[in-house]
Amino acid sequence: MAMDERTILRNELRWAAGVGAMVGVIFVAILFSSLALHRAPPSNIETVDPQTLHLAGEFTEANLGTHVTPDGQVTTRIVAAQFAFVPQCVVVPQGKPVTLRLSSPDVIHGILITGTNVNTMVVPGYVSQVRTVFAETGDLLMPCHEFCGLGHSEMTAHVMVVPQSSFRPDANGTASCASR
Amino acid sequence: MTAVSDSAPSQGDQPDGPALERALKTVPRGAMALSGAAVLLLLAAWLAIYLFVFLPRGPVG
Amino acid sequence: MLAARRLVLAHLWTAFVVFAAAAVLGAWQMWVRSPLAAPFSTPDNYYLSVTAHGAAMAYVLTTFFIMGFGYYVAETALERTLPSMRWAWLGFALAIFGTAMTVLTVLSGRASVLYTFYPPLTASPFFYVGLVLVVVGSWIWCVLMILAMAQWKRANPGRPVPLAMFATVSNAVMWLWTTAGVAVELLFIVIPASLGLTETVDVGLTRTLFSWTLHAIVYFWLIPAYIAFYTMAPQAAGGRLYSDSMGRLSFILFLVYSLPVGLHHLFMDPEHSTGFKFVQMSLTVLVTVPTLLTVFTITASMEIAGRMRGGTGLFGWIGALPWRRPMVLATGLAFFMLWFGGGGGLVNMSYGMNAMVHNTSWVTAHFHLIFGGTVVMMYFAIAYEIWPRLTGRATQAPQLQCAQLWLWAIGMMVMTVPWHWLGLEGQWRRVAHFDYADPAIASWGPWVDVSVAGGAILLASALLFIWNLARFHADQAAKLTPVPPQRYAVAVHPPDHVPAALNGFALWNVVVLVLMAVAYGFPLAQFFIEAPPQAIVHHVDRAG
Repeated sequence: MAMDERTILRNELRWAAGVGAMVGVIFVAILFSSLALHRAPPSNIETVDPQTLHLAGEFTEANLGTHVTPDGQVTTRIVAAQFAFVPQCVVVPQGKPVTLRLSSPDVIHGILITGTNVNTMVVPGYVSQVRTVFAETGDLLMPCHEFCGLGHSEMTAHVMVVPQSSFRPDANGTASCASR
Repeated sequence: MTAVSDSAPSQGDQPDGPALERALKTVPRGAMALSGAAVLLLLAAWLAIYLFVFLPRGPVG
Repeated sequence: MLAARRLVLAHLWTAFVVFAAAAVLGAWQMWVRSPLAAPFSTPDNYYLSVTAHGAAMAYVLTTFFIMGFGYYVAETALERTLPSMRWAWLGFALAIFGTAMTVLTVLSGRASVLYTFYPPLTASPFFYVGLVLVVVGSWIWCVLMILAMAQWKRANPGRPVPLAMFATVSNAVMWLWTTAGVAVELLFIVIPASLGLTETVDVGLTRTLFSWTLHAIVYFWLIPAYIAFYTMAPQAAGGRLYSDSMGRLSFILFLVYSLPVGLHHLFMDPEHSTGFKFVQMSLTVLVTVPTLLTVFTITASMEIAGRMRGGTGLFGWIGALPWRRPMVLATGLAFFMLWFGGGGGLVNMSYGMNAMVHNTSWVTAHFHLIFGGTVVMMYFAIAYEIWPRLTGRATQAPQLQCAQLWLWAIGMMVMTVPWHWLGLEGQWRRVAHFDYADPAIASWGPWVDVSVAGGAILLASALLFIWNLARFHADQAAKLTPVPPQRYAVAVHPPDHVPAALNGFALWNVVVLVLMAVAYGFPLAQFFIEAPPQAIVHHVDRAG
């Protein structure tokens, strides 16, 4: 035979080595982006009782939306429920770290923010936390992207990214779309 | 060249003999070229999305 | 004539009739999502349709096709009758009864929870019980496949199991492992909730159990396509399989690496840590390897055929291949779509990059292209290949078969390429109605229209496929041409002996067990070590 079994095996192994190198490059690039460039799946495990979410604690109505602590930490809290986000519009500053925290009192929802890598599931029983920096100003769309029932298609919110000069929280540290 | 029709499903081809010997002299150079090109192109496409879409969209985690 | 002829035809016709009906729904769904006014367009109808389409394509088309094709391979590759026709028919009866139960429940509007049915959204218990019956029917198939191979080995000591059957049994073993996740989820959590026996549900646990099944199931669907790549395409092209051993290795790698990777469907979920997401991402990187190996081995096999037909030069052998043979054409078109579908999958698997695409149309594009495209293309080719032996009638119009395959590939590309783009633009999934008047998304409209056209082409192709198969049954003239028996591809060096590790699954089952313990052990145990707060069950089958 022109080609014996060992030759075939050698060719296959050569190919496998090439394949290994190719997936190796991808693996290293992934490792680099997650460790050095802070691009990793949001994975902060924190539980909360969905049945009392609105009654007490972090996700009561007064706490929702964007708040800035005295030392400048920007946190935006949103509740996702069938079939609206509360609040439906949030304002965030451009170029500063923002922490988004979401939860659901009912079924599974999820969010993405267009043009960014912000993406997370919102699972009843858990607080979803995503940290990011918004590079561009604009009015971004934040739809619910996980099927949550018949009203799923209408469930959207807006994220207004404003220049830091326009981002003026009130005396309590609260910033909202209306009063910005 | 085989005499079997181009469109009938192949049942009568006898993959043996001198034609096979001749073919095996060159195989898998063509496969290496085609698969290699396809996989390299795939890697290039992945890197392009990584560098020009994913990274510019900002941090997440 | 095939002893299991009617059994195989029963399974395959069930699969394909349900497929055609689901294709109609799919085309209508494309229309509803677009700026074009579609009839009957309400959220109720839309989500009913999406549930029916998804369950039909993901659970019925696939399971029945795989079972039927498996019986065909078992009889023709092993050249023996099945271990038990009675049990095989019982499996079919359970599966078809379950299918009817699920489909009727969906059509009644009491189960619009989509084919992923994530709790707390909970449907009528009949929806789930029907699916359980389909799975139980398929378990009977698994046992019969394993028995068939064991009996053949006993009768043929020391000989390598024919590759087509080895791969079929690797798929059966994998399916038993795969269904464990969803079976536990349904039997212990979801069905009791749907019956009202429990009022709350652990959402993270159910999502994790479903993820166990959700990735491996796509390899269950894919293996038959790869069986065609390895054992039918080289034969159809008139050449030889480059390496039988690499084929065995690829199927083993699929068995081992399809299962411990389901968490990559939960990259964006808050109930799992980066640690386990990273572990399963690394294992997902490994599951790309058998596909990349297959690409080379099959290309080399086709190169043999092309050069035997007189093709010369580095690429000249490509043109020399018998592209008018449906199995050859399908393989080429499937590999073309595999580049795009597999590429999309590489993006999905890439950890942080998943955030860019999760739950957008990119994901919808990916699985329609890789499953609906590459895999289903080969299901068509397999059907065309074996139908002569199932009906006793030779192929009459291969040109129509090739035309149908071309339409499918073109339609799939036209439908999914815009979806990839729209996904990156932020278009999200499972939407019954987009407000195209909103300036933020108005630009999406024309792209969606393009994908509607793709859907229409696919529907035409699906109907032509049914027509092409039906012709076999009706064609009296074709009865006169004798149909040769099934022949599987011969390797360049057909092995007379392979190591036990490449001829059976005892070792690999242990490897799977270890990998699953490492990958899923803690991710599942955590829900019992410290039970998270539960969510209230939300019944979609009750009014108000």
